[in-house]
Amino acid sequence: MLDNTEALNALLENDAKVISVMYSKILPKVQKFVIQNKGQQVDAEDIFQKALLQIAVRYRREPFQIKSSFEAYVFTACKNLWRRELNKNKIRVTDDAILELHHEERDMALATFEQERWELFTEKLEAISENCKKILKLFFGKVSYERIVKVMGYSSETVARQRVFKCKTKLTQAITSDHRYNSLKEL
Amino acid sequence: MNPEEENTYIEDYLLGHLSKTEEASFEKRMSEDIRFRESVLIQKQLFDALPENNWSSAENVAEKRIQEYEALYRDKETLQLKETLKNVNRTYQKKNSKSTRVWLFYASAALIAIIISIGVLMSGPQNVQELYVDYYDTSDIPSLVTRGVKEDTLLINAERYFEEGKYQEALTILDAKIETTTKNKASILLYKGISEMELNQFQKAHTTFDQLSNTDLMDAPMGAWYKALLYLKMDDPEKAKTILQEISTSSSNYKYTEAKELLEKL
Repeated sequence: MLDNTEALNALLENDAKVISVMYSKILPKVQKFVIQNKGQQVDAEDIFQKALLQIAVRYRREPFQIKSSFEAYVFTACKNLWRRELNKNKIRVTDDAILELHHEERDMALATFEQERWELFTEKLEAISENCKKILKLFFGKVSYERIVKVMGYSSETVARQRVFKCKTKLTQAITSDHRYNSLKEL
Repeated sequence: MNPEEENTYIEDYLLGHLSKTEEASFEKRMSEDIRFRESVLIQKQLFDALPENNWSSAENVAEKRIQEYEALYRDKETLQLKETLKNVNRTYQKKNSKSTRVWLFYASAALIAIIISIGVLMSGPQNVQELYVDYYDTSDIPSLVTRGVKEDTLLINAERYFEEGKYQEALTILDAKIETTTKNKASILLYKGISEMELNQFQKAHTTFDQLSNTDLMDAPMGAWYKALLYLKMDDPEKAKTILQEISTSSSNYKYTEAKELLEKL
């Protein structure tokens, strides 16, 4: 097990010994995930390197605390970078015009920004009631109201709409009132 | 529009439930009303960010923040870390592939050993008897019954017995027939010889194949080939070789290719 502070400091100090522990402990899991999701070994290596760089850069810009384990944190960052990669390919296939050629640093900067925003969203989602969380996961997963009525056992679609509205308002208020939101919002 | 109505309006837009005209007026309102626009965008981002199979990408965000990150990615410390990561990865992959290679080495060694032992158990060194089995093939010998000729039920039966491996029954008919037949005699001799050979009546088979070879009939050349096979069956490769060498002198001879091949194996 890697100690969170020790691991973050290793990234700042270029500590190859601690970093090699990260590779042997975390990379195999990332490989498994990427390979199971349309990727290859090299993609996993690339994503893993980017995730560690991303964490280092963010930590240098503004030190933060990792609430989960370091391993879980890196894995989530990798998972998101891979989701982003797959999504980019999806967009590339459907609409070439959307594809902008960014140089590597800019692309990584955007990925970092997106990761921060994702963290704010999921953190706030985790903080609201279990019931709201469940409803919103269905709703933002584009599950129809008809289906939400059945899954949640509501008496009617009107009730479902009211519940979604209330929960959504709670979530968006929690997000927008957070000080991080201002610099993370779309203009 | 009360908040709930506005919410339904936004949902309909994001889920693509509005008509083209409605969409246009929706987007017009977005460009004029900042609060409305922000409400739409945050919901759009949630639709993109929360499902596992999606991702919310930054489209129109504060350039200051992005540039700040870009600069950090470009600076010396980050580049040094990148180098370290590359090196660590290289070492890690090398170590990994080494252990994979070692494992593969033992696994393939074990596999080869298994294959060899199966091979030994299954075949052993190829002996003369096996060569006989390999090359014994009666699928191309002519039928006893000539088409167009009045049906000879006895010969039909003989051929059927032969095909079923009932060589004794076939021989009884063939022995009787050989006395009375003048036409198609070569085929009868061929079937008779092979039947005798299969019944291990080597001396008789030898005589029969000789008789066949000495006729001036079309099937006569087959006698030589079957005599060679007979010698293999009798475990006399030297005599077989002599005949095979004769066959292999001319490519027009019956079973020329097989004869050459067999010679090499002997």
